[in-house]
Amino acid sequence: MTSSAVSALDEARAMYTDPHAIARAAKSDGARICGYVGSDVPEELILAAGYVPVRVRGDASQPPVHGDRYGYLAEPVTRSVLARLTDGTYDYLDGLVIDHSIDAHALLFFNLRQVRLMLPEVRLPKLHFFDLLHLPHLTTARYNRDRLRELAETLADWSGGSISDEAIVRQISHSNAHRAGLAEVVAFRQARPPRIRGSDALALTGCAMLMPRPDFTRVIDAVSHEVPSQPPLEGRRLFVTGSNHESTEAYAAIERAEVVIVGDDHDLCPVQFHTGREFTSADIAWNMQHVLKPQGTANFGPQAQQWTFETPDKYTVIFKSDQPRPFAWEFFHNFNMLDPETGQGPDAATKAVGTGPFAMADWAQGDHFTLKKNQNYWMSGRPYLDGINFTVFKDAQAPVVQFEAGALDGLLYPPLRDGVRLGQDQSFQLLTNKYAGSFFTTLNVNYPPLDDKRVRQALNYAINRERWAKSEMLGQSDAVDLPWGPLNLAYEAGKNSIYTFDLDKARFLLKDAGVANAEFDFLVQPAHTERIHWGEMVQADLAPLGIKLNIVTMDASSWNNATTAANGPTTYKGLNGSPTGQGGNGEPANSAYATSNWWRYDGVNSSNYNGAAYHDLVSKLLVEPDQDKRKSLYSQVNDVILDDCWLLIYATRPDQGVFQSKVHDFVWAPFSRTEFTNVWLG
Amino acid sequence: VTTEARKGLQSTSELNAYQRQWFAQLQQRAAAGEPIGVASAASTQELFQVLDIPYVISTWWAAVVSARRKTGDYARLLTERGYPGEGQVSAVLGSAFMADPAEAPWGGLPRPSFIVETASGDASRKIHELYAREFIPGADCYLLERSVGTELDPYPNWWEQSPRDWDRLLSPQRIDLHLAEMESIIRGLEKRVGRTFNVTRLKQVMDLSNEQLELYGKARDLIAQTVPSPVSVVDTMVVATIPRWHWGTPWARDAVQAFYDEISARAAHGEGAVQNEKVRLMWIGPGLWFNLGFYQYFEERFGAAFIWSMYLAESEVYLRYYDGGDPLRALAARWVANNELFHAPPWSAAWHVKEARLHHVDGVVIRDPSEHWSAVALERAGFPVIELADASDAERIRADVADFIEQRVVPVARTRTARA
Repeated sequence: MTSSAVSALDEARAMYTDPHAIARAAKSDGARICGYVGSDVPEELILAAGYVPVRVRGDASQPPVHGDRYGYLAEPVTRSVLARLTDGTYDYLDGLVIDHSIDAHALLFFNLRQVRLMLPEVRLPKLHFFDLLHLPHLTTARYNRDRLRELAETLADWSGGSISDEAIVRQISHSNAHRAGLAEVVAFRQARPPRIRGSDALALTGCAMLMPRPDFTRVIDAVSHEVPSQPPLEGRRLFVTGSNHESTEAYAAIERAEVVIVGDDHDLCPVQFHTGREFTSADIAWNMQHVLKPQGTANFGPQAQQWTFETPDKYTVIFKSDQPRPFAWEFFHNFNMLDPETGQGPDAATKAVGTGPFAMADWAQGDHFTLKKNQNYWMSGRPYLDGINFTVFKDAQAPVVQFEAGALDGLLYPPLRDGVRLGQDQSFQLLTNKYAGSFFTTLNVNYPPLDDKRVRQALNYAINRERWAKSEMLGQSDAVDLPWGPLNLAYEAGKNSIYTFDLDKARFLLKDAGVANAEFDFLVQPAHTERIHWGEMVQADLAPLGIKLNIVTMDASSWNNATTAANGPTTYKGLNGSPTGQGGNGEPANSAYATSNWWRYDGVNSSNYNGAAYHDLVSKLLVEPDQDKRKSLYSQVNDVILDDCWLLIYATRPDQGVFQSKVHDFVWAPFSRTEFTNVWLG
Repeated sequence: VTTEARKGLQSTSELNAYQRQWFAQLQQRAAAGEPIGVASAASTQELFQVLDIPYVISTWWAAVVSARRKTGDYARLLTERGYPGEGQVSAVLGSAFMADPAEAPWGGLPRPSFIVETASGDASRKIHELYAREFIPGADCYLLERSVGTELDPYPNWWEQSPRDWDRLLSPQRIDLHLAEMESIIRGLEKRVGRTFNVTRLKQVMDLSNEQLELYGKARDLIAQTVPSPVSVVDTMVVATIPRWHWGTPWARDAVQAFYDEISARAAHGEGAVQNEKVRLMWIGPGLWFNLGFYQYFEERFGAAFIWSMYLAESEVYLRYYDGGDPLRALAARWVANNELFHAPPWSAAWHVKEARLHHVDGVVIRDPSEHWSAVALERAGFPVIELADASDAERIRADVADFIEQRVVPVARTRTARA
């Protein structure tokens, strides 16, 4: 047992310098030990597989004992890791997981793999390369998700069993408690005056990754107990940033100059709300409960209902579902966190406090809002902008004039013609998310003769998609039959031109259905000028078929009442021209099928459509985790959409923004989000 | 790149002139307002070809800058601004700051509108940001992930599977990722140039590039099987590079065809690069091809011919047939793991042994410490190997290689010659 704080720290320093003795002792007590290289390896999974995780450490100052006999690496720390793994230093490892946090780790893997293949006499642990990649794209995130599964399978295989969800949850919770022990060390550093040196804090942090948990807990308990009784430290306070340190030498050298390193940001930064309050699992729980309330956000409520959740500690939330939920990825991607203190406060209706890169500073409904940089943002150095001023214009042309005069840096959703025109000017840039969604018209299948699918198919043949996309959308939209973009799993290029403009086919289908004359309304909001033009075009094309189309413009509120299925079955007389559609590049999200007024599969949709095949296929889709099977199901759903035609999908719908040339790195993120985190001016 | 074909190959004598003419046209198109692309040699260039976007391979441009001894100037332009000035990045990024085109080689690199790179180093994301920042207004920079194969015991003879069974050789998830990233690039390019990516055109580009790669392979096989070898590495440098930057065009394919025809005729007439060829050598790693005297020394002293380097043989790694399937997926499979096939053991080691056997070499010189496992594999396969530890001192290298040839290679060569 440790008898004083000084000896506790001495013990920590000694353990940090030589962690192998403790690991070997654990091994001799029957523990299985899994080493890991790099900071991306999730030690919780290693623990859940029944292994003790130990971070493998190199020393750039020590030349390899065997030279480069086991392969050459230019990066000195990794070169040392390779040497130590082959010279017996880590002979107690049963397994080894290497991440891809730096390129040298891939070379380390190749060399170790080759040692196994060509020099079997060299004893090496079992090996796994965890190819976690780092570009900030959804494509990378999906690849990483599969690599994480692969790692879990490998670890389960090594352990000779399986890794249960409960074991993972338990280890996440334990790991968080373990890290919380380090929070006490951080508090000692942050104290005024500080109570612990940076070099000692670094050693303690390192010990957390270098030795079995019980040993570390014993040391940290002793340090926590005894440091407060020690005299405070004197010296200037210093913060260190940059690469990880694998030894305390640099810290110790700095601190010899009457300096105390009181903080560093090598790996972690806690997430905070804009108010500076720490973001914890209780906040996630509140947000879940918030959207489950009857007045909660319509899109999230039904998805949130699919989960039960608990918060065993401050940093852990466990979500459970009775079925596989392949769309959970998108749900959590879209589910933004609101600060409960503000959300329950007197200004809840006018203030929004979250954890994102920008905080809301000022909002006047229908007029303007101002965002300010979140000084506490978890991503170090971001955002670049100090703030963004948004103005809401009621007149479509005024912002265009101001933008061209240079008074505005950017213009979101410009009038299409202006956007295209400005995009051709070298001084500006037009940024388009081509597959933000789709343009479509819903048909009320309760309204005869639209209850006959032959009539709906006839309408699908009688609409001239190409002409409208070219003349009205100036080529910014593609004529399509289905709403999915090319990155969407449901996308099938070959099915996008089934319904070509063909009045003869339309005439034949109408005749087959016994319809000689019909009259429909076409509901549309006055602000949707392009869709009014669409209605006029359809009106002209239907006339020779004996179908009269009445274009009925109605304000947004009346239109909502007439077309919202949640109010009861809709009764509009034929066509609704103003829905705003899903689609885009994500997979057709859960929300599309479960909650969308246009797509709901349970019959509660604006068209009153309740096809059995559609219901059956979507029910399967929502719980099918296998991607290939989902793709097949989507294909069948596409066939139903094209056959039953309760929606006339006619073109892709782009999101657009024009910016001055000095604005860089604005992107349209998935799900039509604007992304300003990386934007800079120059 | 600018090394002239030593033995005066007719088929390669015009290639440098073509490159100048092509670059002048590219500069004209850029001056007329056309967007220009830049791709590294390790990332897809075919997307530019399909969309008829003029493009420059950054590796080639870096070689041009180097040949004009301007690398230091470009690097300085970067370091003055607080950026690191290393590698081929400096040649492209430095050109953003080259104020006077008259100072720049070949009239200067036009400012690109698109840059396609693979995330090949730890700093690539930051470099990428710099590209976007400095090539204003509005350069679109596309960075592709460099994923890594996680197999513990990959099938070593990759060349048997890579042309047609690439889905078996390489992890499908890696190809899927690369494909999705390329589709994203295509959408960006389409938007910017206002043209649609045409799959029929992609098939043509794939077909033409595959034909060119097949011809490289035929030339490689001819050299491998002919004693004396009709050409040396130095003779093949130009044809292995310049048409390589234009693959997917009839011109590039025809240039390699002409080269193959010419060396076939040489072989038929018994003409050799080293007429009195006694020793056949393989060179792995960065060559000293600019230093002709270095090689002449070994020719004259030992009758030694360096007949293999990766420049001609590497074409094998890119061959991908789509066989009626998706040509874009085949293209993704071309680029997703090319670096590993070349450089990561066991693939690199198995390939080097295969090539050494094919070419009947008597010894191998390795000037790259990261190819250590090839040295081990080659020695185990019976090929004498020297690993050059200090790669910077040409005189020292010459002495070490001479000793190596004398003591270890010449006896092997004599045995081979006696058997023949």
